[in-house]
Amino acid sequence: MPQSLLKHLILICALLLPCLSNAQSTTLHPVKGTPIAADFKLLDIDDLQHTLSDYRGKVVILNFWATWCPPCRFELPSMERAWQQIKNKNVIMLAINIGEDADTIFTFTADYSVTFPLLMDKDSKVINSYPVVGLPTTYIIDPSGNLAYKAIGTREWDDPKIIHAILNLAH
Amino acid sequence: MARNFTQHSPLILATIFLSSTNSAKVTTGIDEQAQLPYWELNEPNLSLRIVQRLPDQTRAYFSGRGFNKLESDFIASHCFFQNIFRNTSTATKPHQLEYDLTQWQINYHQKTYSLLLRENWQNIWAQRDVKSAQKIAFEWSLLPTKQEYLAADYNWGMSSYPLPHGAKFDLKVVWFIDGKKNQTTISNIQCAKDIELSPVEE
Repeated sequence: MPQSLLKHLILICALLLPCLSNAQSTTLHPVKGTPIAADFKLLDIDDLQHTLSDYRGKVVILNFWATWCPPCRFELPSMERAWQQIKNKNVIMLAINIGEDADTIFTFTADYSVTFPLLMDKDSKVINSYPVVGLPTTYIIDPSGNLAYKAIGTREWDDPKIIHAILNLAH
Repeated sequence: MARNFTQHSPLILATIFLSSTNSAKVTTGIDEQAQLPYWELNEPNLSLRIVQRLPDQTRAYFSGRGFNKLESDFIASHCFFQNIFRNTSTATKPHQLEYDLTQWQINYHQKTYSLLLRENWQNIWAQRDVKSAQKIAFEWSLLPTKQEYLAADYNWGMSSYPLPHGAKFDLKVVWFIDGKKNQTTISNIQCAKDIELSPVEE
């Protein structure tokens, strides 16, 4: 292989690698002004009602997702691993499904088994009360009920940096 | 990740030649998951991959979301692509990426067209007999009309075009990095052709 071509290949590979490495992001973005999170009441797939304001005093990880959304599916396993680490540390994880029913979500969990509550926003009223335009989007809500962090797209939720940021809010 | 890179290195090597001759840094190839053609734009802090969708795929996808046959066929009569839009800046050198699809432009047969956006489809659904759950699934399946991504943020979403199956077109892509406008044209994107099955003669 000519040396000039080899140099070209190395340069292009170097340009491409950051794109590839971003696939498993560990970045959370602070929300400007930390506005109050819109309150809601939603049922989960076990028919239990969850009211956001009832979780005041805890950190809430609020994830908007759907079963048909590929990046939403990518991050569910890491969300479950994170949940196993933080569920007893003043944190609650709520994954709000958009537009689907309990049967659809229940069937889906045969392949993606999670133990945190899966809430149903069937008419999309809750997601429309948040500044969300795409799935998945996740907010981290501080114990005072304010939007502290935001992430658009998949994250590696059990990465130590993310766990640390969440637990810092919790204590 | 290293495994993926090695697995797809022939494809990456193939696209390198394309990128070296194209100032817009557009590469093409076959998407490893969809096994369909893609067009990918890589610019500083931006990565956009546009992957062809077969009409049958679109028909099946929306049928799975509860659309009846009439509506699934209607949706699939349009040209759809899957998009993966990513802010490639890092936490140590963060930049804000924004786009607004109303500023994008299709050039097809010397005429310009706009994409069919969430808002256009809302108007379409208002005149058709489609249930609320299906409208919600459709809306959230589409790429947002406007979006802001911070470092490492990304989304997937479909885009739709008012073009016939098999149409080849150029797409003007506009985006903003820290408020500064950028634009380029991706040439010769092709809508997937529909598959027409005919009875087998014996």
